[in-house]
Amino acid sequence: MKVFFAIFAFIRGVIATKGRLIALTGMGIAGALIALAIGASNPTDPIRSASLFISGYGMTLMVPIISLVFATAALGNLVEDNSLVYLWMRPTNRSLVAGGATAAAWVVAVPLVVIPLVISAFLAGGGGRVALATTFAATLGIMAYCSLFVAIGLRFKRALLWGLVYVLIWEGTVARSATGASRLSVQTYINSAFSDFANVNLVHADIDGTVAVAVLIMLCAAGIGLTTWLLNRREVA
Amino acid sequence: MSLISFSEVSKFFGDLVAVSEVTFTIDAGVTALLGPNGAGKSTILRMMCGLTPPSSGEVQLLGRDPRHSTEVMRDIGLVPQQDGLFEHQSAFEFVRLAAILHHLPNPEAAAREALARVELSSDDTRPVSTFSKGMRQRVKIAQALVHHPPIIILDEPLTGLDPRQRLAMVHLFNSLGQAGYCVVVSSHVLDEVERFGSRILVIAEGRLAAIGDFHAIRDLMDDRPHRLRIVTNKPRELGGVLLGAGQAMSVRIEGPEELLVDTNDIINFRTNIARAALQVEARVEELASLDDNLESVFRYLVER
Repeated sequence: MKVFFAIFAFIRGVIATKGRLIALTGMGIAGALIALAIGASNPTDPIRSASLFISGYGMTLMVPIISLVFATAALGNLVEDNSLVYLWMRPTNRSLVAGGATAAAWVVAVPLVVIPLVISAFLAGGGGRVALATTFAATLGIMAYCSLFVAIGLRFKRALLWGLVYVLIWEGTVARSATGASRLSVQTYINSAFSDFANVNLVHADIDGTVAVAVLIMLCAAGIGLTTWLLNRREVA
Repeated sequence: MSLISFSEVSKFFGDLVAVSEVTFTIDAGVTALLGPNGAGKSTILRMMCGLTPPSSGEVQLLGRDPRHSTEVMRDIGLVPQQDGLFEHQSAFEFVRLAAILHHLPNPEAAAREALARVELSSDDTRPVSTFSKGMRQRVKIAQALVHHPPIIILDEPLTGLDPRQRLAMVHLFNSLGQAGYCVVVSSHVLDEVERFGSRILVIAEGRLAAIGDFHAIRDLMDDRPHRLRIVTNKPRELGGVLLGAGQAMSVRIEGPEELLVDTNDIINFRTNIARAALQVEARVEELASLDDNLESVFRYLVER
């Protein structure tokens, strides 16, 4: 465990830079201000309005983008500056490196996303149920996204760009226009989980909540497994 | 069983042959990998550490394949060539992390000892990003020594060090070699390698060009044909004397004051040139070797 926590603490230090934290906190503040405006407009169905906002802004933008920024940097930064060798050349199971890096991305991303979204849920008039659903779905979503994006950061040079292409083009456009494609979108499972917990009907959220949670947990495991596999196979500079 | 063994090892990057059918073994003591830039030294060291797999052939460290065994990493300390470190950490944090990842029982004490060995303070809390190149190099060496591995691999470790630090490092490597460690050091500087006074593997164009004791390699290099340019007021007369005395294999007058000489005994030639000039009362203003750089030496060894 000492090794795992050492890797975790080190990667957390790598990714949690002042610049990133300030920029991404701004995303949360912007969301809270929009939520405040929604709440102040006295919507006829405040729970539905709040849920639509949390789904449209929180789950669709904040969760993937903030996960992407931290997760691709977790091992990607070390690949970029050729310092991965100092983690790789150790008698340490590479799954600990993968797990430590992924956990660091989770721990940094979760408060930056969940805290402002829960505040936003209340500000928009969603109440305790929507706030709870937000906490649960956003946390699961971040865990799934981070697990996958750590692997992408390790594998691809411009991982941030590829990740944005996936989030904005695939999930934001293609997956929304075809049911088959939506099954290959993490977004669908997060929104389905959120919709189920909040007990609000949303579009692009047609999967059973339990199945959605199971898929998100499997994606976490698959992402860490993929990162471990890539670490074992990759050529290290 | 040798500590390190390469058997018919080749490495290709697409059409480029970086290392070609290299076979050697390395045991305890200091071994220098000598070759010009781009000769394939770093690729050999990277294969040695398992950082990249060979395209063909077999690499073994202590009888194990370094590419597929994380356990073998306990026995290796690597100082890579690249400059990147964990920039936000202090030297102590960086070396302590290495000690933790090596499962050492007291990582703090191990880190302090390793840093002291390279003359760095473990109390220095500045991040390594603020360190000079020489200090960064020493941090890299400290993390490689922290777990006392039997095999220490250093890729151009003296780069960026000042003369005093170089001397200290050479002394450290030699003392590790004498203490029974297997120290593999790569360099493209012949004089640097001379100071290791070690066994040498000469790598040129991805091939093992020569192998042996430093002095044997040095003799081999000195015995090769050399071409020299002599600026003198009497090129014709001086050329005649050098040919007559058997000091030159051939001479060519290049201009009113320039003579090109081919010799295959450079040491004797340098000893006798003054006597030959005196004999014809010639004034020698310049004597320059036209092929005394490492690349030409390596080329000769490869073509030999």
